[in-house]
Amino acid sequence: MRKNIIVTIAAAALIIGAHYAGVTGFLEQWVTRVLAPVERGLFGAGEQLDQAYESRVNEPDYRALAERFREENERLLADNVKLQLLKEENRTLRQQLNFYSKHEYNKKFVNVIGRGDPLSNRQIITIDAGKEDGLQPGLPLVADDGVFVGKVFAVEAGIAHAYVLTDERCQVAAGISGRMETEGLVVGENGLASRFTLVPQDQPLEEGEVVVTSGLEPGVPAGLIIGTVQEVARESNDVFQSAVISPSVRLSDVNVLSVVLP
Amino acid sequence: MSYRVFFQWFGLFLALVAVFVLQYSLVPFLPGSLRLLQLPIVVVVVLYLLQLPTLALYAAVGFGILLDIAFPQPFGVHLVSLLACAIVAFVLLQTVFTNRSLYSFMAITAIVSVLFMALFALLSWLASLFTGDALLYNWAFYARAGGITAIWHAVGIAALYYLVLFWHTRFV
Repeated sequence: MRKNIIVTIAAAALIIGAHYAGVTGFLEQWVTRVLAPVERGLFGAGEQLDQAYESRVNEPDYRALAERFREENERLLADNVKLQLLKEENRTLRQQLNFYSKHEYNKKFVNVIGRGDPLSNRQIITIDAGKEDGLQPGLPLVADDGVFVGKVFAVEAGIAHAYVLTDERCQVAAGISGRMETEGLVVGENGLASRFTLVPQDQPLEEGEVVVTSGLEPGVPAGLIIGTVQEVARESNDVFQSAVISPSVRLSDVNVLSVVLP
Repeated sequence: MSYRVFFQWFGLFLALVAVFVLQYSLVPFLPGSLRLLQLPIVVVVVLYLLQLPTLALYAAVGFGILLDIAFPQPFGVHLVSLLACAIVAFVLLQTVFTNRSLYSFMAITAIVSVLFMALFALLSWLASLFTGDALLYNWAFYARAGGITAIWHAVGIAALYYLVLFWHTRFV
């Protein structure tokens, strides 16, 4: 074996020497040419293998990606809701500021913190201002650009409760905008609508007219918008006529309001 | 030379070429550290395992020549490195790991794998001194490659050891 090793080493040295002497050039070219087709074939297979592996390794984890997108979507939806609320709040405050810039009323901005009273089926809202803020029963709640929403009926420390316009207990003296001689009383009706009642038959009352507070009631200034006349009910043998009022705001949507203080 | 011997040599030649082609065209595309595999080293050790030491030497020379033709390193780098590995493996088998156990072959494989990478790096570096790019040599890469190939080759030899054992007990 030792002899074989020596012979092999010698052969290797000879081959290397021959290469650098340029003797084996044609042989190397021949080997390269003969093997080239096989190498090309395997090279293609190798590339495909490499691409398959790379695509496998770099393939995103779609499940994790979907989960991440779902979480992000939920977060964005929550953000969007918050932004919508802020936008709405901003719009409301702007309208109310616009309203108060035209009138010399004392005011207190309040947030609606509760709505409805399921146990008594009353149409009420709870606001985050109370006795210490100067609130007292009978004061009007105003939304947007001077829209009458309801009346405070109970005041506690830190909070107050108010009837909204559709509650039967909510009554306010009203008239037709621009024609205040047409007077009456707006009363809530079954928690669903409001009715402009006790309007004398001899007073004109037409659909589409705007009903506003008349100011005859202490604590409630004149000119707060209640709604528009939707349908007039007039009986010839009746002393008074009445009309269904369509509120100027969706009462279920109001969140930021103001209370007109005395 | 009888036909039998001729066909044996021809078969060996074809096997060498096949391993060379795999090494040249397929191994570089294997994923991760598998692309560092040096199949000729494994083949040389397997030939020792099959008790064909002379053939192992010739195979080392054959692989060395083919790889030197195919790869851009200066001619002789593969040849010298592989031949040195084959000789060292033989010496180790004769002197240190004489019991021819699985662990002996795994140890020999690991040692010659590291040796191959060290020699390859050293010879390439020496050659690069003449070409002027010696400063760019990444010794850390070769050190890491030596360790990785030692592990992969040893694992491969373990698998082939059992294959040879199975073949030997079943067919010989």
